[in-house]
Amino acid sequence: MDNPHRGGLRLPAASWQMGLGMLLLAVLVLAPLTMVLLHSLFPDGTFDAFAPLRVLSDPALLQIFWNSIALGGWVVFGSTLLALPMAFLAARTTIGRHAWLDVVLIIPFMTPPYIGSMGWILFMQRRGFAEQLLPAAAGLTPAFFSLLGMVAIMSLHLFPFLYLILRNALMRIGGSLEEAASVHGGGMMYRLRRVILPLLLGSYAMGALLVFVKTIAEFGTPATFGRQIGYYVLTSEIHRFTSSWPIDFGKATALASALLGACLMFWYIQNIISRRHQYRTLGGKGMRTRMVPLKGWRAVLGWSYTGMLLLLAIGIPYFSIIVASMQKLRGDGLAWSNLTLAHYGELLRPGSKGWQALINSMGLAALAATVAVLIGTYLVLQMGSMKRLSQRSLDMFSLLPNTVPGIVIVVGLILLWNAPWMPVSIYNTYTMVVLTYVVFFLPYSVQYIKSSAAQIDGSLVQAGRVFGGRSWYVFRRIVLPLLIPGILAGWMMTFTISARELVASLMVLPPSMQVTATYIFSQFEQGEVSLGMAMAVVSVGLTTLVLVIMNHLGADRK
Amino acid sequence: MEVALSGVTKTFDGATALHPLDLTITSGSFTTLLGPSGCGKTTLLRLIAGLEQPDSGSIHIGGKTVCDTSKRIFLQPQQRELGMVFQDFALWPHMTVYENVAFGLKARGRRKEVATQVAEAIEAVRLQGFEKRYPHQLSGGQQQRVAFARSIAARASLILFDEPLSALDAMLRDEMREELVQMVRELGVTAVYVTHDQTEAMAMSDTIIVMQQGKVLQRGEPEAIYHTPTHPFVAQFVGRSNWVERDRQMVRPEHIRWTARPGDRVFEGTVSRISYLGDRYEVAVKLTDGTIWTAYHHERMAVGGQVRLGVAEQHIHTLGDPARQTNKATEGQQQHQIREVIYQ
Repeated sequence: MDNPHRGGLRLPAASWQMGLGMLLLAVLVLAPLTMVLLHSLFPDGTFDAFAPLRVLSDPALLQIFWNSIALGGWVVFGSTLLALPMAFLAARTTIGRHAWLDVVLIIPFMTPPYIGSMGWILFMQRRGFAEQLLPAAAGLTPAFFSLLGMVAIMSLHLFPFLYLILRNALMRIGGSLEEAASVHGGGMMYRLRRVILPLLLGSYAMGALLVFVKTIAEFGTPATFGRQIGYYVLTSEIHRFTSSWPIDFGKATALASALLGACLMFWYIQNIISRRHQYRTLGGKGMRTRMVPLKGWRAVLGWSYTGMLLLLAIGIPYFSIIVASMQKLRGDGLAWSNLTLAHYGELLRPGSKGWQALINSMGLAALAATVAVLIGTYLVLQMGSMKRLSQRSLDMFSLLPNTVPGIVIVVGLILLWNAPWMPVSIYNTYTMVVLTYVVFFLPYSVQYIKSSAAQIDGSLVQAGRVFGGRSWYVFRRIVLPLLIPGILAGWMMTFTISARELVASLMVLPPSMQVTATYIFSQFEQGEVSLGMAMAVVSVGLTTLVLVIMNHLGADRK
Repeated sequence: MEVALSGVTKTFDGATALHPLDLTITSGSFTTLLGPSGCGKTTLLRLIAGLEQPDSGSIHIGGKTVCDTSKRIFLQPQQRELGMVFQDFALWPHMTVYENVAFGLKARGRRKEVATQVAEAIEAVRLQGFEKRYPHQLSGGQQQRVAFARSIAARASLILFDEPLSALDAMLRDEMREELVQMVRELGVTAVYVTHDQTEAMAMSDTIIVMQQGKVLQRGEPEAIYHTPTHPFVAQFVGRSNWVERDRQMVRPEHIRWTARPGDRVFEGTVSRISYLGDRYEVAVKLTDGTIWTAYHHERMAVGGQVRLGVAEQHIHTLGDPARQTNKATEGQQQHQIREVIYQ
């Protein structure tokens, strides 16, 4: 894509439109983050530049900070171990011809982490499914309920990310770059050392840092599994300081600033590395990859690895969740006679608490998705050709919530909308939840719509003008129809992830209101696990259905 | 380095890419594999390089067996001592020009020769001073030269070219074409060149091998391919052909006269289309039997005008009739004209 030209999308240039876009982002995204920083700098109403450092000098809090960092490091290690062999198998052997593998390997990543963790807890806990299936597995339980288990669960959740990045990088290198090396005398090891690994390094560093940042920003697993084993990290502690007695917003914001700082720093490093070591390895036409046909023991080895990975990443958690959701009595263990669909009946009975939560989730998600795509479309239109600084900063700020850990945004939003001077009182209302979802997932809308907009060649709009269309007419008849696929994709994506968002819901839902995620969470902690798991199945099932429909619609358009 | 293939076949997922093929490429020659996309020319090249394995048959390079399916011999590409220029150049983006060119020597552990031979190769492509640059800092033509330098640095005596000019723009392509031929000739290496561009093939090669759908249709000098095609597809693919008798007898446009001379065969028709090419007009004439011919004229003609075309009997070539040869002396003259014609 030598030609970044995507002009012609601009509405008639008028600065108030750009200004409105900026204002929207300033209120939605920048103000909450500023509130976090300010609050950590003014702990008692007076300015103290060292306040965040002072909080971190508290050994207990510093320990929490290091816990996060260590967890991040281990999860990068764990997901590398899982992803690298799979990436090689998919990029270089006939296993890669099975396209369904790609879809299946995304499932762990699309499963909300708190649900995955619950599945693992149910499986590995004392008298859990593992022990019922194989009594000897009881010996593993203490070993699993430790940092090791937490790293395993999170790696199994995040490895698809690294896998996709590595596999794509390998496939690009697999073309003529490697062939050129073999024709010019490089043996296999020499090629690996001099050509493949150096070219892979940039992509790997990028993927690894993303996994790291996602790990330290992750809330679901620390809140479920981490709490059980007493491994506290920044996100879970921020939640504790803001939601349970004694509430200490000073400490919460200080930790949030530390988390924010760490994430931004690692994003920055990632940016530098990818700029320096990312090569354009994508050739033009004539790209071929040599697929090694797997035969004999190599086929057995390759497929066993794939099978084992799928079993660990998908099989076990989903088995536990589904079985748990259908058990009559948890104490009676695994038996056909102990299965029932009664929990689903209870969940889907209009008027039940579960039904109410489900309706709430759907309503909130639909509303949030609609608002997000409206704002997203408006912002993308203002970004135009992305040539001017204002347009680029619009792009950058609209994508910022993707970089910043969710919990930091929530803390900021609470500080902002619950501030004593805030004239609009939406805190503790339905609107606040929608607003939080919108801020969280605005980047998805913007990205989908932006990629649709990028495909609209400037000449299409120019042609519209040449043939006499006024700008509004051109927008309505040419630009908007071409943006629709992106808008639709953005809507569905936002709907899907809003419908199961945990951290935002836990922290901003008005009292006495529940959504699916909080319902699952509270039932799992102190209620009927079976009901919670039934809700998990329904929630994942529904959102998957939406994604499948979206894929189907997308396929129709091509 | 003579390259000899015998009984080589290749299929991809059941689709035949190469029918049984016997072929010898003479040592020191510049041989071009010419054909439309999907004709198997690139597959053939990759079989020689060892990037694909044939289903059956044997390949010998310089007398050495590099592949023989019946004896279960298959030498990996790195064991074949070749040079190759890839279509997209395939320069390693993380290595400098120097490192790219030195790769073949270092990979084979010939460290002593690195300094001198890399310098020679870089000098041969006139890229002195660019050694420390990375591929993305070079223009297309320079990248092309690096790719060539890399293929000659280890002094391979067989160099394979996989449509190396197709990634360049038209101006640069003409320039690089001449440069490439010159460098190959100076080095005295054997070159096997794959292209779908007949102009390139004509201008560069000693021998052209025309392929279609996995078969070799004709091989010969460029002149022979142009004047005496043995297959209707060759006649159509290389140059413009006017059929006197469909798929059997043809005449090239430059041999059509606008006023018939005594002894000429006469064809009547109407002018149906004119395109101006700068130095002449290309005129499409619809003959009375409906066949469309192409001829050249030095001035604009009226569309719809009646014309009588004359063709000397000796210029009508009957396909599948290699016995009929034109006089060597006149052929030399014609070659000159033809090359001029083709270059335009």
